[in-house]
Amino acid sequence: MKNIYFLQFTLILIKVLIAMGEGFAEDQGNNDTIFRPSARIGFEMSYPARILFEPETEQFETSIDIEFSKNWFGVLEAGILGVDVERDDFNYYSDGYFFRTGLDFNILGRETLKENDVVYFGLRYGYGKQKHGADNIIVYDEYWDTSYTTSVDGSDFESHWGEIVGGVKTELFANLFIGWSLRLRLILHETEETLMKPYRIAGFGSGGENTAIDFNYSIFYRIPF
Amino acid sequence: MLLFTGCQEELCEELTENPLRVGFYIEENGENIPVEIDSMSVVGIGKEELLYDDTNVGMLELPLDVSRDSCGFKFYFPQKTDTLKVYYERNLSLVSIECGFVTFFEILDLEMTNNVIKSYSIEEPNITNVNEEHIFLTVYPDFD
Repeated sequence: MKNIYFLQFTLILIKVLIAMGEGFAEDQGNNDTIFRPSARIGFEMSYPARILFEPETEQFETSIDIEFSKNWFGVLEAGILGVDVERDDFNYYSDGYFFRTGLDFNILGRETLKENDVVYFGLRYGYGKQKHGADNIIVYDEYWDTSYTTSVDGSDFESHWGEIVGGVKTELFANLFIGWSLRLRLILHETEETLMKPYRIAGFGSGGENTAIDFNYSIFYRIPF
Repeated sequence: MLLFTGCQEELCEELTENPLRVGFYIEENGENIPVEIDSMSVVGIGKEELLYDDTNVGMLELPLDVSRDSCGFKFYFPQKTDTLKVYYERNLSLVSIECGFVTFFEILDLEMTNNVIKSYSIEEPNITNVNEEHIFLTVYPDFD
């Protein structure tokens, strides 16, 4: 897996250097015709892999990006989250969905219609909603030697966040891309929850934190219009 | 892995530790001065196991009963005894998935006999995992 990242990064880096060397900035104004609107559908691949390390958390995500203007992409990402934690003294569950929307800008530019690789930076607004609760909570006191079992009814939790994203998408075969992105997230607003913060916020990351850094690895299929 | 588990346990202990902290003071010129009580024993009312056994203490850490809304303690001073009854509200909170749930408390009221303890004050009614004193007990000047 690391070899693929390295290869991708190297390919993109070479292309960036070549583009810079040939006067990329100058070409921008002369190549306005090198643009054909397209849409790209993506499937996030790292979440299924993360199940190996975090079997209690399941998250799936798809995306669509549309190049509506040369090097400018409108992006919509959406997914679902499921958490099911079983411990000796409590069970915790959470189910929810999320979406993110925003814009990406391709800094790599394009010289010919055949060049579809992108190196991008973008901004996102994210929203997640989930229901979470806990049951079979066994509260035990060692000194007083007393215990009782209780539950916390499922309650809705909403969160809004902003996100800065940077990444690459490389065309492996005709219209088939792989890509990764690095994301920095900041909570803008969330449901006030004093009793129980979500273990995972759908589409954001760890609950109880105001910031999150995430890494995504995806495959994409491009539909040329 | 063992090191991680050990650190995690330590962190969880820290985050879920929430005793009622009771400090002893003596009043001098209108100010509360911390004082150490010699040879003190403490037991939960209705329990036999001592929480403190003939110990010199300036502050007590007392476990509140998580399944009831009140509990009491008997303080054995060298010459006399006092009892403290604490009334509280319980709030269950999920500290983290790793550490689980913990009961936090809000002190509503206190009852105290006045043989050695002259007066009390609730300094911080919320008992959480923050390390702070919740109750000040002021003893008589001739407490020992």
